[in-house]
Amino acid sequence: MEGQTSNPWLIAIINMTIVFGVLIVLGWIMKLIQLFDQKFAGTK
Amino acid sequence: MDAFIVALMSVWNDSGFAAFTAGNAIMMVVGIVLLYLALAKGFEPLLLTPIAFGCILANVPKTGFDTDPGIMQVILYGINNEVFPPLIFLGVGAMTDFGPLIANPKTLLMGAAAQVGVFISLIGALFLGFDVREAASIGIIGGADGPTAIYLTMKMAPHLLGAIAVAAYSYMSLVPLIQPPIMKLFTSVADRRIVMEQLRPVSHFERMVFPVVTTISISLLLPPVCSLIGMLMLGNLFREAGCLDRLSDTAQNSLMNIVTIMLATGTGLTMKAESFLNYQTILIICLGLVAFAGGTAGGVIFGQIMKIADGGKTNPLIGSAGVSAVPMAARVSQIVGQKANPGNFLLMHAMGPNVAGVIGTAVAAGTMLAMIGPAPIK
Repeated sequence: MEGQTSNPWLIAIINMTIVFGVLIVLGWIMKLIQLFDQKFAGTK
Repeated sequence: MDAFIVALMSVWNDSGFAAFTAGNAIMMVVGIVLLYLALAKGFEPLLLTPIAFGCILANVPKTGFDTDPGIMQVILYGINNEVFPPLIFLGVGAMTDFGPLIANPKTLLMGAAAQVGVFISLIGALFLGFDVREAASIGIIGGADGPTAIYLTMKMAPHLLGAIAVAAYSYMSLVPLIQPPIMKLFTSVADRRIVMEQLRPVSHFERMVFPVVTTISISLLLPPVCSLIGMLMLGNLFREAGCLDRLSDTAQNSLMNIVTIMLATGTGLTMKAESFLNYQTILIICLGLVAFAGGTAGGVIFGQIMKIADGGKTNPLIGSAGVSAVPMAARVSQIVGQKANPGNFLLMHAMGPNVAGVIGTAVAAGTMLAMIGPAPIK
């Protein structure tokens, strides 16, 4: 668990990349849920 | 007569007055000022009042709060072992409508962009001499998310908890004053007048599946924040299920109020003179403001990018809500937008980045924990 880096720029860049990446993937998942709902579940 | 004087001296020596220092007096004044701001000026009174009172209590010498069993030990246990922040998130989840975010997933990106304030402040803190864990804890103030700030600080730099919590909650209460000038700086009047299309209706199925899928995906990636994200989404599931009204009601009212009292009082109890009255606290207060302003600017600038990308359909003002501070930041977007165009209703649109900001701050905290690691146990 103990991390290695203490370079502020590296922490900032990696962290922002992960935050954007996770939230972009979450957006795709939302789209998939919507598509699934329209195709199969058909709830209102 | 001698016996009387000896008894009197004994009472004096056992009293708090004998160990009362100038630092304790200053911190009590700080507590009273915070009480004034909370009760007379209305700055986050639900949080600042117990914080301020806890600060006063913490500076009464010889109370034994740290050593003797009792309610204060229970409260401090909840603070030291990160019990309260996830419970607060349970209530936040139960109170928050995720519908606007599900209806417009693009707003997730604004929540991500607003985290830039966290890293501006982190870099600033490192250059000012804080170590990397302290800098990460200071940076998270920019997330404008009190429970996450407390959670991360207790794991990485527990000695800074008082200053960081006070800075986070103070700036959150000042969102209506801090954000509008920055929002206006990065937008034109024409931008602020943009009326956004009505959001699509979100089905019950989507509302039910979203919290479950989000919990699984984020928790698998970032296990250190599983308790925060998990409780946020569990609270939201209570809200949306339709058959869990009793649990939802408890999570967003009774439980939320009880935990708020304990969390805020416990935060105040960490504001002892010896750990609070130093140069670092002043730096933390300043860096917190930088983080907040940077996050607001990051969100609005990303809103501008989205406006250009979608041909002018997005009002960039909703980007500022990406700093979390649910729902106050979204209300600020609404107020600033309505001042430019009285027919503009941005509140629901701004709730998307607002909720995304909560998730984004938790992800940022989890990533920092994974990269840097928690403070070594002494």
